[in-house]
Amino acid sequence: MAYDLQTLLGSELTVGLNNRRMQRQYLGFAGAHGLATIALGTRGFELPISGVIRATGTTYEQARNNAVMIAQNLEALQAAEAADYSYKGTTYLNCIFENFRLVPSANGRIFVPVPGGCLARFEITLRGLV
Amino acid sequence: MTELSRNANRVLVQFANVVSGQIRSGWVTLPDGRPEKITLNHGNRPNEAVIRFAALRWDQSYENLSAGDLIRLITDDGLGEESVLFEGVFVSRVNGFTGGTERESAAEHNVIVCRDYRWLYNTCNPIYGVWARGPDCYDNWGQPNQQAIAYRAQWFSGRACIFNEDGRPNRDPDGFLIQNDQRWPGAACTIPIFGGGPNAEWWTVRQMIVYLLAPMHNRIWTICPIVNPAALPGLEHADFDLVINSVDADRKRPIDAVAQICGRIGWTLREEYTAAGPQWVFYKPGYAAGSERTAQNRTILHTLYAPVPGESIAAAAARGEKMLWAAEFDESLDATINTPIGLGAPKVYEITVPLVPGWKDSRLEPDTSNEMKNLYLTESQLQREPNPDQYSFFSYYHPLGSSFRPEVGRKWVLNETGAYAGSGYNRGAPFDWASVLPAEEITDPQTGWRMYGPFARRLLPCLTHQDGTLETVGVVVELSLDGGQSWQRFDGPVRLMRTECGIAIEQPNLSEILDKQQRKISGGPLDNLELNYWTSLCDDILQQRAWPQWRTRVRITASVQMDERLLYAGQPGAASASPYPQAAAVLLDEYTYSLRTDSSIFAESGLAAWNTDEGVKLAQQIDKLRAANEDMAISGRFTLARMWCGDGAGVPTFQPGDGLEKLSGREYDLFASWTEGAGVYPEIVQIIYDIQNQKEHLITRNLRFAEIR
Repeated sequence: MAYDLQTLLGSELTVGLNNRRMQRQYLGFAGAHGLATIALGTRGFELPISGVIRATGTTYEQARNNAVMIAQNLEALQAAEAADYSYKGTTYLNCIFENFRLVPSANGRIFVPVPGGCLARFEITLRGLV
Repeated sequence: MTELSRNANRVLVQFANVVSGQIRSGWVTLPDGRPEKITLNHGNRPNEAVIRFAALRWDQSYENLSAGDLIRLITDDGLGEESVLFEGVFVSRVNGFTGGTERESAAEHNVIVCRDYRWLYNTCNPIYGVWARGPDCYDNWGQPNQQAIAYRAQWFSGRACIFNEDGRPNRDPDGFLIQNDQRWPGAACTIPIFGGGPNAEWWTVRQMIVYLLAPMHNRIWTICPIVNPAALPGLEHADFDLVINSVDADRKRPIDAVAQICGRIGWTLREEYTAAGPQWVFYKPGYAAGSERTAQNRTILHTLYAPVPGESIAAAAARGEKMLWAAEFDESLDATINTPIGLGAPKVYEITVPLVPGWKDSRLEPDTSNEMKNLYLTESQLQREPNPDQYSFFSYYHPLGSSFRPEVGRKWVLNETGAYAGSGYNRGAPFDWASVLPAEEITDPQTGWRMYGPFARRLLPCLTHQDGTLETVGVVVELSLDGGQSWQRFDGPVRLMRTECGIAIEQPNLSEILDKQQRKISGGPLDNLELNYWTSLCDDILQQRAWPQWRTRVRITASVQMDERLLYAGQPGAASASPYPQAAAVLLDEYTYSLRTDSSIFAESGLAAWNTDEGVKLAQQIDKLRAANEDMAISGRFTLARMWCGDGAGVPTFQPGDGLEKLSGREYDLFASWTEGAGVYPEIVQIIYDIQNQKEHLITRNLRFAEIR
């Protein structure tokens, strides 16, 4: 069964799709022009995902603490075993999360106060192993 | 797929479980195994494969895979027949991890190392004891119609496995037939075995190898059966008919022993793989030829391609050239040996030679008192005497005497150094060996000079052997009491000198060495006295005879080692790379020269003698050495732009033992020769498949002579 990305990461997601990248070895030869190449296969595809963490609290500080806890849960996803994930009807097989990071706003703040709480923007990459 | 752009070679890891020495499964592919490196070696050095389990942590293991399981690495290109690049045994697991630093990441690795069947065979089958026939392996044992039972042989744990021991044949002329034997299912072969007696034959190199790889020694028959060792590829070559002496394989590992024996005739072996399994192939280093691998031509020459400066590689790639990506090599005269000198054993001759007294005349003082009654006493007389020491015969000349003179009457020497020529002894000139050795053996044909020096030697047992056996007759001492007119065998105790040619008579009472003709002394002060060895010596002294006019004489028949040896110097051939005679003295003293000369009393006896002249064998071996080493050595590493795994042909393109003929493109010939004539090519002694980097390394180096030496 595939896990729904919106359930895991929130509903404010932007999900891109990068195709598999070919890995190649290029070989030059002493004194000669040109390269030979050996195709070594692909490294799997990447889904760059950006989203928003929203946390509430009676004070900004409390809201920010809650946002940090959510961020830690997202960070922990990187250690999960490979699994299948779905997003808007498309299922991506054998994927792992990597490269999680919180993205600062234009004024340099990560946890931006909003009425009733705070938000933080994040990026994470879902890498398909197949 | 062009050489300009191609896919990586996929290599699968497969395994088969082994339980209690039995294969318990077919080949199963290991999806997690990532082959990293395969190293192929020749000789007794096993091939090795390294496999990494990338998805396992260092403390985990693949549950179906255990140490000892069989592993093979096989291509998976979908081009045609797949090639087996390696097959062997999972020998060790290498686990490790690091927590990393600020500059390096944390890492874990979980790797297994596999070795080939040569390693397995070596490990399981040490050679000790010998297989031979006992009385129960013959029909009518001990009878004139005795006949070996072909399918019977037995193992003797107390004997050492030494082929042609001491340069003598010790192979049973009747091999051990193994066929339909439940101990070794499928075996069909005749194995040469050890045997003694007069019918023993020489072991050839091939027979030694067949014996070492025989089913009887194979404890891993189900894993590695060699149903007929004589049919192993390469062993059919005439070089394996060579007889070499004194090959000690006892307590050695079989492949080590085989490689060593091969080395002595300039051969080696490799392990090859096909889908049907591994096989050992024998080949001769430095003799690669042609470009097509056949049953007759197991090592071939390759041309690699190094592009011309400024050239576009497109054309070469389109032709499918074996593109050389990197190389590092040197050409050197250093290891060239174009004038090997074979040093056989020193020459040995059986001779009969006269000895001279090894004491001064003044030391023998006969007691003529009491009307000669004190001249000597028999042992029974001495035993009745309460004080025998009162007699000089006892006190001086008997071993129990208080003033025993051990040399007098007892020490007889050849005087080969001239030590007994001087005053006090006056035994004449140093012994002239030319008087007993044939002129052609002892004279330099160029100068006419005698080829020996006044060196002290030792007397050795005779070459003559007893009728029907290979047992020497030993040394034979004879006495004459009539100035050499008649001789009688001395059968009392004698000790051979260690530092010179000579003997010491150890008979306690010299007067009990009797004249077998029972004569009496005639004339002189001892007239009509009993003639025995002692009275004969006394007679010579009392009659003031000067040596060599003595009537008492001693001669000996024995062997002696002279100052020349079996020698063969190879001459540089036209193909030699070096303008200098680069020599090496190779001691091959298993080749012997021994001759019973006409001077020996056994020359006309009808008894056989151990006459040998193995100069031809020595020359053959030295010529083989020269041919393999007279050219320059090219040592280096040639890295190909990709792995050449066969491309659907079922067998890899390169094998250990193949030669590198040329680097086309640059038109650089690799055969080593600074003078005119054909050269030898650098041979591949090691192949490394670097699978992760998709590179193949060919290592060439000169170890031909090192192997043989």
